[in-house]
Amino acid sequence: MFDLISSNPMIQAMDRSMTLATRRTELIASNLANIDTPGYRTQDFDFNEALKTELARMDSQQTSLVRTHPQHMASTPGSSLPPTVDPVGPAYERNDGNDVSLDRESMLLARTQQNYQLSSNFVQTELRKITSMIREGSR
Amino acid sequence: MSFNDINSIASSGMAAQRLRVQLIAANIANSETTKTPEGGPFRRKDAVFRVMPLQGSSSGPEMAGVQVSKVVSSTEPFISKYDPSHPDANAEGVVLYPNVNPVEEMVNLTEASRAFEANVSVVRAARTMALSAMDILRVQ
Repeated sequence: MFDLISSNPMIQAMDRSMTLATRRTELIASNLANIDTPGYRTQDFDFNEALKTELARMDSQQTSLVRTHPQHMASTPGSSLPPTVDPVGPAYERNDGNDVSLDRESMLLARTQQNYQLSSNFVQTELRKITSMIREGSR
Repeated sequence: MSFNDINSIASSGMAAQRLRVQLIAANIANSETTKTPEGGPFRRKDAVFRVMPLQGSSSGPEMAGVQVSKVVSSTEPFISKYDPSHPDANAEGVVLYPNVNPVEEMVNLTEASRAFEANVSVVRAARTMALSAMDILRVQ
């Protein structure tokens, strides 16, 4: 049971995806709050690249760590937050040195929200599967 | 917790934009005011924003709210009108009216309310995300 949930690759992957989506929403919130702050630069990271890095690290840690004692716990790989960059070119900078675009951030907000809901639905489906397995076994 | 961070960032943005709308309201209301406690006609006021780092947050320094660093009075010249019967007219019969341009104020008002709505939509998105995360618990 413990392994079914905590080492489930699907749940782990979706956990990373949801963490990254939350991080991205935080950055979008910062960008939109500072839409009129002079000199503020848009902050964002490449979601797909960050997720790929996280999943690759998840895979490598699963194969490299060996439990030499039955009471060792499975390792939970620590996740690090991706560095942020300014994705908007200098051409879009306004006179006050601010380059936040309302359209871009609104679009990203909607998309990130969808990503998050998709991931959480996947986790829910996975947990439902496990629950139904447990139920069937007890019949 | 991240969702709290998102909400506090968005609420700092809403507070800043609300203060800006308040200043615009004062500008429009006083667009004909020729007498102020400081003397002279009313001066147009505007808010200057600056980045406010989140306090006590687990996230990095990139997560920042916004705050109003100062309220500046416009130094643009006043509008002068010839009206000798006005009590505030000077020796030449010229009255100085505030340097408020109603068109400019309207444009700023639209901009401020759009920015406010953007922050509201962030709060809404964060709430939907938190609800969908809570939905995971309902496995039945």
